[in-house]
Amino acid sequence: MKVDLRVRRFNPEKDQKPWWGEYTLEKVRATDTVLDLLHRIKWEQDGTLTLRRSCAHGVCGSDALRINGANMLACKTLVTRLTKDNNYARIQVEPILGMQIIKDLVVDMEPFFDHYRSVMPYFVNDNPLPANGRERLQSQEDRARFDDTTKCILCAACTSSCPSFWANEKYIGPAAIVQAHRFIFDTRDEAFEERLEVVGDTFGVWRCRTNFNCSNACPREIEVTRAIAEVKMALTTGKI
Amino acid sequence: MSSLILTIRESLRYRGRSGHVSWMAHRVSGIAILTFLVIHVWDTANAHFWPQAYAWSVAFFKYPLVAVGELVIMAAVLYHAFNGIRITILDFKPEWWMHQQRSATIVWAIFLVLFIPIAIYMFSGIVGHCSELAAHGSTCWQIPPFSDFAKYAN
Amino acid sequence: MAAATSSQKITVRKFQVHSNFERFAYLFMRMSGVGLLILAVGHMLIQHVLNSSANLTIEFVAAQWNSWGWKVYDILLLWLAIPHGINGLRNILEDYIHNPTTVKLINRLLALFVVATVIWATIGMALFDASKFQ
Repeated sequence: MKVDLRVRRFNPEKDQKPWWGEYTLEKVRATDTVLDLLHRIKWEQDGTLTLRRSCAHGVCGSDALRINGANMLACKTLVTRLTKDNNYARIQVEPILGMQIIKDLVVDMEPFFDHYRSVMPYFVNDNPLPANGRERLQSQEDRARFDDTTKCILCAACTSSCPSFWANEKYIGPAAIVQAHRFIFDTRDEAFEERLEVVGDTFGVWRCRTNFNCSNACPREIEVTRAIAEVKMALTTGKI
Repeated sequence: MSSLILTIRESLRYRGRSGHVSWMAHRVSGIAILTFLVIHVWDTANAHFWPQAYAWSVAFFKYPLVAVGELVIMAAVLYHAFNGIRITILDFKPEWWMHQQRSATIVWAIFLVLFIPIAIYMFSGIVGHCSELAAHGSTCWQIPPFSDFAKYAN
Repeated sequence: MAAATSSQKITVRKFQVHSNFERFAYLFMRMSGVGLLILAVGHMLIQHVLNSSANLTIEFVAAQWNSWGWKVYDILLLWLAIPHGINGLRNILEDYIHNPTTVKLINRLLALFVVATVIWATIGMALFDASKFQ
């Protein structure tokens, strides 16, 4: 099929403001991904097109982009998902919102990672190891409580789809709350009080307006809004 | 300032789903209700503190364009209330997450089912008011002068 | 995670909740919201649907506020609606205004506005003398 792509371009060394690059690709397969198309533009038409990607298979989280107006991973988005026509597709690709554009489709992820680090996203348990020196045991039911939020690949699709984050990047964002959830609800971890204090702060969970953009954007299909609501309930009831 | 305009513009452009639309409608209806409420509260307090002004304002609110505004506020209150309950339920029952998209549609449905008949009723009230005034040789397209209500002055 | 047996096996831990204004505001919005669903939607339906807008005159209001039942209803509505609405406005303004000094000033003005409005209108309703309009 034929695909017309509109890609948001910006080279800070040359451009005053961002502009739209228009590219046409022929002989595109319906099962090609948007990342495949961006690669073809870069390799065949304009080598200056700048983007982040790594595994190209939906696990590294490098290529979260706004595709046809909504956040998705470029490598997981098949062309067939973006068109009803077997012979033609129009695809618009822009960088994710809420973070400063460095060049073309690459944004400054530092504020995102700062928020991630602020929730202490690592295991904390200073109690001595079990007598046999092996695992800290945990029931299957306890393990299931935070299973969903272990899946996060830090792609930032959720945080950059959140209107509260767009308005004020001091909001820690859905991803940081998901990461906090993963440890708060892990019965083996002991630092829940510190993490709950971070997420219970002015720019923490209370900024969530239950808009659900995050859950819809998540390429791992994590129930993000649900995780955020569980943290809100923990802070409301005092129980985890 | 450019960041505010940019944020609002991109919020409108983002292709979110039902939750995003509901969020925008909730915010817009909230602003509309608050604007009305502040005027309404300070105006209605005049019933005690400045009755002449209050009586005049009650007559002013029958002016057709203002009365249509009442209709708009009715819509805003109904939508904001029902969507607010939806948000409250989803916040307090995270495990009902799977129903969220359907619940957004249900809120719109309940809103329309209630608002459409109410709107018809209220609008016919405006039309009735105007035709009644016209039948008595007067017109609703006239704001009564403040002095008409001097009898209410303390 | 639906059956009762699983919830017996889940470990529940308790912790000391540190309440701050944001947590209070979050809970207040939802609790006042439920109250307002009844009071505010009720008010709109009573004034504009059960009664006709054409009937709305100062005499009509006086007839309602002749009884303390209606006065209390409206006072309660006021005490829930104004803080609920102004807190909503605070949320929106804090979204878009980032200068901390400006935010502090706005918060103080909004708080002052809530207090002034609620007190002024409560006094107005409580002291309203319906006999003057009959």
